Amino acid sequence: MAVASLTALVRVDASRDPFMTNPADLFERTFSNVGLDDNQMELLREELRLSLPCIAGDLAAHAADLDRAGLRIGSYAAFLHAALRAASYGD
Amino acid sequence: MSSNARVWGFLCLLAALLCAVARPSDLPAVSLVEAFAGGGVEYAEVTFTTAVEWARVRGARAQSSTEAGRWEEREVASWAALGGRPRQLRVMLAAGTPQAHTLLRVCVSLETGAGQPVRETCGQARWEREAAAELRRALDGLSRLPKTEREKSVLASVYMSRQQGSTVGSADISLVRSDAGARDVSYFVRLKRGSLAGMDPHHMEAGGMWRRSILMHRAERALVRKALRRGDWAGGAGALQELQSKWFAGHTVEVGVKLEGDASGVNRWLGLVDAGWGLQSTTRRVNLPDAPGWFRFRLLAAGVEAGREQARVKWGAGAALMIAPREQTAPIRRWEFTAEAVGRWLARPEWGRRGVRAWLQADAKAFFAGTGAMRYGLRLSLQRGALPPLFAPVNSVQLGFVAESAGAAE
Repeated sequence: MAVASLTALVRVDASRDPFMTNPADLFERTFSNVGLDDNQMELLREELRLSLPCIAGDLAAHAADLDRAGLRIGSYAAFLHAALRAASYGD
Repeated sequence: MSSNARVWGFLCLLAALLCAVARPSDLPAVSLVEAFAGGGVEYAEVTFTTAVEWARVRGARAQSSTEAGRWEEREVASWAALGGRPRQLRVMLAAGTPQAHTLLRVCVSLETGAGQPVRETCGQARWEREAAAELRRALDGLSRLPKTEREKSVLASVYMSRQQGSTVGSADISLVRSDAGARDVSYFVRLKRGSLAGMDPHHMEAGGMWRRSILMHRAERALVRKALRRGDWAGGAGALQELQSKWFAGHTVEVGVKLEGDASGVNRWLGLVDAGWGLQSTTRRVNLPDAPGWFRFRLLAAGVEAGREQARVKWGAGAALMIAPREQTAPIRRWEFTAEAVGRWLARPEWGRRGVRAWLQADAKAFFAGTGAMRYGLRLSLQRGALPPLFAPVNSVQLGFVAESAGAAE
């Protein structure tokens, strides 16, 4: 949803389980592949900071690694998942 | 007669053996398993070599073990496909795996075709019980970009052409790297040079910049978040569509210091403070027949550059358009059109010049070949105007080959 709010090249249908995306292999693409550049990656991180306040610290601490449009969306999602898990379980 | 029977018998046996071992090359197989445990939840994420038709999944089973122990069966509670990941399956386990078990093996049964036998494919992983370890692994994954993409942005075009019996060259290099320790700080080096008068901007700058991006449309974004939290997917989709229709995504504020030089025999170097405020667009879809693409732009609404003897007000804009023909056999795989324009009002004379000095650079690139790290093509570049510190007039049209690092301006 955060990516879709910045680029019209991504569509998300969250009414289904699992949710559907267009492109179908969204998480295997890079952010640049769906039209984002490094400047927009900063806005993405800001959107995620507002959506996931419990991991705002992790997002800020790794901004240099995260603000790169060449990243694979799946790798970015894996980082978010790990950070959320660490925040949930207090590890 | 008996020798013919032996030959035919051998051929039949060989055919039977080949049929027994032959596998369709496109059947998905497990390529990676990641196992997670914590907070009473245990599950595995299984990645396949190719996309899986989830209707063909007939079952899943799991086993766990200590390092040198025997595999013990674990109950699989459910399995489910993951959105946006056609090669991944999540297998949920009924919790209760002993803490001493460090290994997990997951096998997924797939129907290979109508009337065909079900085939099982397996993979193995270590349990990731510590969230901190999972976070470290995820960060390793983020840093595993190819070296040319580890920098925040690398854009280098160097091309040569023949003109009037002599070789003409030019370089347009932009290197930006984020500071690993300081938030929102990056360092840059930019060089624009040419080998002939009229095509040499005599421009080089290097420095550091603090930059903050601020989202716009916060109320609409809050609507999306609230809708998703209460499970109102229709409401969330409507709010998201509203956001995608907006032209601008956010503001940017930049403050930095730079050393500006001509990188030539004149050897004029200036230390400046540089500040600006701008707007960043969303990425818009472009729907040309058989050639989809995207379009984005940014505006430098207001900026200042100030030094010991320099005072400039600047403004500008940049835009990028990318088109990729759908046809796989198209000779040109990708078109890129970029334009950058900046205007500077010189409040104090510089190098005998004052007033407004503008700069326009427009590039059209056609890429016809590429590797994982680089793209190769032709570039037509228009440069007109003047850049600091010398504000030497430039009016050139150049055509040449371009080698560009992948990941830049995609």
